[in-house]
Amino acid sequence: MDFIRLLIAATFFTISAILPFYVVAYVHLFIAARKYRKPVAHRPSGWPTVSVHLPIYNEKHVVKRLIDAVCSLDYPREKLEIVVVDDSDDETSRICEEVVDEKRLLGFNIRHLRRLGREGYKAGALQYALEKSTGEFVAIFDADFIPPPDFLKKTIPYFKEANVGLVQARWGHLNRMYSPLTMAQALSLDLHFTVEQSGRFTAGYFLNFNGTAGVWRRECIVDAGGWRPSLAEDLDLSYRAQLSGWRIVYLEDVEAPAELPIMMKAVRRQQYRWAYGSIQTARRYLLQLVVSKNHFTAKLHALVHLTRHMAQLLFTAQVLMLPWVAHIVQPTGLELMVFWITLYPILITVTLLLQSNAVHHRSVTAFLKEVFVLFLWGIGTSVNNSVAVIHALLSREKVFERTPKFGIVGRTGSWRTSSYASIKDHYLMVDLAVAAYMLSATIYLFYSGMYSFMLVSGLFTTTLLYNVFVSVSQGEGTVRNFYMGSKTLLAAIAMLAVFTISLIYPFTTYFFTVEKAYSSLYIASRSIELGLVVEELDKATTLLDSGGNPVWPFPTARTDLGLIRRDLQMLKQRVQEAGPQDLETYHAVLEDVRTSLKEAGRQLRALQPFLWVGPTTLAVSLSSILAAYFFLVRRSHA
Amino acid sequence: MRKVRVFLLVYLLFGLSMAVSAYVIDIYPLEIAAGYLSRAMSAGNADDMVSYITQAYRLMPPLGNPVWILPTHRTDFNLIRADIASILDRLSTISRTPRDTAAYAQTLNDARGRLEVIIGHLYEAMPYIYLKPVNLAAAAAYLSTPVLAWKLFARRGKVAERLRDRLQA
Repeated sequence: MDFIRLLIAATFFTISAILPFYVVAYVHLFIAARKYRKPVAHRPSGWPTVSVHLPIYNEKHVVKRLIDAVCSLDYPREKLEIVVVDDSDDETSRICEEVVDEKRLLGFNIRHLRRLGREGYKAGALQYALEKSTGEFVAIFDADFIPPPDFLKKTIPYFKEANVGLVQARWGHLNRMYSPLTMAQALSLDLHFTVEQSGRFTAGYFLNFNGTAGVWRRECIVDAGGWRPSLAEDLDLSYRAQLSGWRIVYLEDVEAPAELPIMMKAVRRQQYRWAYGSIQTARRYLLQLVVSKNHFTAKLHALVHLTRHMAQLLFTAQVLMLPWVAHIVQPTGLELMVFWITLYPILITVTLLLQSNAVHHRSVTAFLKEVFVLFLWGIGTSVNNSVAVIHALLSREKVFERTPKFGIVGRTGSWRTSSYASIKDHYLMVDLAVAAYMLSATIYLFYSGMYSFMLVSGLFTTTLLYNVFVSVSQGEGTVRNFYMGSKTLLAAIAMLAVFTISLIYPFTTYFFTVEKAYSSLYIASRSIELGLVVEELDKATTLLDSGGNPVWPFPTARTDLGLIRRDLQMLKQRVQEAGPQDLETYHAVLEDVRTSLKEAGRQLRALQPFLWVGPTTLAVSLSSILAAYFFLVRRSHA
Repeated sequence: MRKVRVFLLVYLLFGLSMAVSAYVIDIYPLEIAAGYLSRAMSAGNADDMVSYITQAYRLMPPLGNPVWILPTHRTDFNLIRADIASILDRLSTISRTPRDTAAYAQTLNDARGRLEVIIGHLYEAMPYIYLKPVNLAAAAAYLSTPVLAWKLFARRGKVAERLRDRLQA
């Protein structure tokens, strides 16, 4: 193998060798999570003082709901301090002020703090709140959360042991069934908590604060160095605290419901921030982690935990390399191996997702629907998160962009008219470019006859287009009012019918005819009877009666049907001339004809995909399937 | 935002046209040559084979080894051309003999085997011809353009901001 091919193959197989670590780590957590036991709570003799910190930035739809919920917490009022740190530059500040004044009049110890600028973003706001509050414990809630009244009474008792620095609760979902996108996110978060957090807690590995719905011991925050500016300030502080010897307790049965983002662009932005923040944290503490006195397995899991978004980058790279690798391995006969190598991350993901129903106990139909959408959305986010990982590795400055919430509960609620609905997502262009590349790769693999690889490249294209189509469907402009409701479904069905017919007709007429000719050549090349060879060559020549070259991009003489036909006629003549009277000539001619027919067979195989899908068929089938997909995505998300 | 989108579209189309033109100039002639050699491999008689191989021969690069990193003799076009010339000689000689002889069939069969090897060598050389230093430099310049443009605009923006601050002060 030459240098370039070796380089591509080596890179591909190295990536393929790293990816299983992430899979094995997840499976390990999956097994550990099943042994999760709720830790023992110790009700304190007297309730300690608690500061509830509410970092707010432009949350006009949900801020009142949050403050109302926090004021409904069942906790001794004299021990409860509520601090609203407001960095907003819209009407949220006015709403905050009104609600805080109202609550203060009702006797709550609540303050509305305004900062000049957004220095340090959320971390800066939390640090400011920490400095301005006095509680022994600090509970943190993002604006989209509705903590249940018994939240503090259910979490504070777990601070009995002096080394417990944080008690983290599970996130619930206020709008799980709002759209397929919220369903997918809900399942993803459920898996994060029920599998990853539970597993890490049970096995005694490093956990993370989820940025909200948790209670910190003030001493722990101070001891770890306070909140530091980061796009993942939660993960950052969690690791610093645990490296300093503090423990995190995870409570599976304490749930704090929250609103899931409903706009694809917002979700992508959130994912980007999490991916960027993880790598940022990894860069800061990986070395410290490696030299720490923790158990080797704990370190290994922490490494996987912090670099988990790297797996998406590796997976993306692996899929992007697919057409090149397929081209290299095709002559070596290792196609099947490479096919499984690229398919296994997807298969394992699906298997684990399907397995996870055992820990969720949801109805099978709803669960399968969630798995399907999570699969589409999750893989489709790989490019977005890969860009974030590269961005974080290059260590460029990144502004903390919040995820807008619209106060949506259940399946109802409007968001389109909100000023928060306008989100710019420049990275969507990257997704679109990669989707175009993968679509071209799929077409290339098809025309190269490497059909098996099309499964992975096609899946990746589909998932990327899902992200793009949902973003476009939820976007502004005239497209929003184009084809809605039942019309969309009818249009999608019509497009699917066009797609099916456009592929079936040329397959049965052109592709299958060449297949029959190929079979004749196959029989002829294996026959030892000259009569049968002539007969089969006759059949093949008759079947290939049309001339021309079906290969439309960059044709060569190799796939010229007229020339192939001519060769077969010449070969037939030679076989007829070589009588059985001279055995040596007889065998030499047969041997030569066989070699020739093998090449002719390869030529037919090379032109077959082009006969099946010509330029017109390609244009019709592609446009119809893309339109059908867009209509279906639009109908379920817009 | 619209300007950025137009720029990106033009940029992508320009990149695509660069890639396609490099293919058409550097690779496609070799693909055509490989196509003729493939035709020769399945041709029914020596005359046809000679005709196809001659056409392929005309499309071969005249000299040199396109592999610029760790080259071997496999991709040396001097040797490839010499091989093809010797095959042509043999086939031209055998084409003057009767077709229904063992020698005729064995010569053709042997030539087909050798042509298969030559096609393999052509495909081995193709990535290096496509990724030759000139093309690589062009690709690097193309890829770095948006980064440089971004940095330039960012710097201009900062300068403008500083100037505005000074004027305000």
